[in-house]
Amino acid sequence: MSDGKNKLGRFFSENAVVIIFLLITVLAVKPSGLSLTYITQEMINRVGRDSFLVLALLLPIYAGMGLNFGMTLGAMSGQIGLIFAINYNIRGVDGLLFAALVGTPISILMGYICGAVLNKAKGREMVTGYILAFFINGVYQFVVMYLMGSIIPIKNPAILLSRGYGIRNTLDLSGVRQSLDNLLMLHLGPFALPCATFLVIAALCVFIAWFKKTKLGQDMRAVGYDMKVADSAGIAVDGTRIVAIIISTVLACYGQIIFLQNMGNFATYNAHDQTSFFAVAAILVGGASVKKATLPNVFIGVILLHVLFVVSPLAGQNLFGSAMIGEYFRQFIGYGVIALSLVLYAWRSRKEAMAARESLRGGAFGAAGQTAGGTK
Amino acid sequence: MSSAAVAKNVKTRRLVVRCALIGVYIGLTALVFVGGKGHTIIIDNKDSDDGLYKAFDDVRVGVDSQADSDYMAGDRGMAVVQGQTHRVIIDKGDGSAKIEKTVHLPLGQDSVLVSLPRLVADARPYMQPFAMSVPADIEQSEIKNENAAAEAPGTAGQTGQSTAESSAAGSGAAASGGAVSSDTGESGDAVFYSQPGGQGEASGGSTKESSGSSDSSDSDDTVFYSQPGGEGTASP
Repeated sequence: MSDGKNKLGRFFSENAVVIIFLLITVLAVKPSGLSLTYITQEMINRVGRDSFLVLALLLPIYAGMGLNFGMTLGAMSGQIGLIFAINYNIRGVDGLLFAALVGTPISILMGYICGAVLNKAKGREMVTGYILAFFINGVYQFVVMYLMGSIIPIKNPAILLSRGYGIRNTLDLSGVRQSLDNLLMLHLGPFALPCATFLVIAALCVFIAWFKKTKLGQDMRAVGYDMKVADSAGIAVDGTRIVAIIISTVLACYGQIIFLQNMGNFATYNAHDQTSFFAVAAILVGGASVKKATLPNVFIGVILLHVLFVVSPLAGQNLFGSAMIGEYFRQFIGYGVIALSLVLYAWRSRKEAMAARESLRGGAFGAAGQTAGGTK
Repeated sequence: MSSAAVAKNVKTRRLVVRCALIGVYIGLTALVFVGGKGHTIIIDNKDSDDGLYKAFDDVRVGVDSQADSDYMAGDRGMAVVQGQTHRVIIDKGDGSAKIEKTVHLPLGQDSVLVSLPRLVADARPYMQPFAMSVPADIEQSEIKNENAAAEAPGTAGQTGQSTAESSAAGSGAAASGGAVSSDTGESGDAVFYSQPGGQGEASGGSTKESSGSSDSSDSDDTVFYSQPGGEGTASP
């Protein structure tokens, strides 16, 4: 009986974030007044749009580096690629490929820098990555606002400010807009499935599943479990961590390109600001933790988070007469989920550490404790 | 073979492979660049400047597999294409066979103006560069926004993706259509196409994307094409 209770308690404590989120979402669906067909179509769109970005978070988690807030660097690289694609007026899927080809070397460099910095801050990777993203954001602003057009050749008057240098605040991606989504659009009843985007995401899932089985993947997991043990086993810990961050940054670059092609336009100076925040929120909502994440966590998280994103403004409008309440609620939930997840993780870690300590005491003290307990 | 020689061989081979990979990478980028380069073909059904070639009264013109459009005499329309070689199919509508012409666009030219009567008559040059400029009000709003962002850098970072997400989910009123759009979306769906040669006014109604409205009060050689508002709107 108590064993069953423990199991139930453990299940709830392990999946607290998912359960809370699921409850809130289900409760918000009805007041929103949206049809299931509409919500389903929205989810199809949003899974295609966001999953790639969220998948980019997996490898650093495997390598024990926590949630990679430094993925923003990859997003910036993708945006630079897109700026060049618009500048040269490269359209369609070719435009996306061109952006990816331009963005890849930049994101590799950024990933290397990020990995090297994170290696200097072992144990505090998340906050370091977050602050590093702010720093590199300054560099990005400098490059895009001052160097593009003056030193970096940008000629297209449609994206260049009239002063001759600097890129406009908002760029229209009509040339590449939804080109990947529309490449292989399948219409099933009332639903439109962007199959090409899903195939790309599926390919990434296969890659991640395969990568975990490779030597490098196993090394990453070993580093993630215990760096000291991995080092003793002859694994190049720092190098492995850098590779994990580089791959994550490159994937974030591609993810941002996929995200923006779906949106159809982007705010040049701040489209990347919240990329990592939403990706992290999604994977945490899906039941992942700082130390453990799986492919299903990504998709569960993206779906749950976005169902709430879709229904909450209308639920707020219908319940309280103001869509802004839903909007605040959405922001609150986004930040709240990250906080809750981190708190639960810290609490669970402390509990596990205490349990481990207790088990170590096992022999003499444990026996004595049991005896004492029995006497009582 | 000594171990030093083997090591040297491996190093050389590795260097060759890496150089080859970089070459393939650059080649792929160039290929994508050439194949994906977009061009705007402005189809101009007007009398030629020298008066030798007369505009067609009523003609249907299609570019590649895009939908045909009707052109009356004096009409001008546009087609956005990808790559450098394109077929222009002209149907005079008088029962005669359709005329198919192939045009090769210069890689470095984003917009070209193709004179339909000259193209049909194979009178070269039937193509001329077409310059594009941005209206002053868009420039001003962009500069204003940029200055505001420079003055308060912290505020810009707080909107970001959430704004895009919210506008996508809510009203769907993100920046719209044209080549340029401002953050406020006030005038974001307009682009000026002006022809250096000083040719005529707008008609534009015959194309799918452009619904022309002329700005003839200011200048005769300025054509104003505006795209439908929803064209570039962020999908929810």
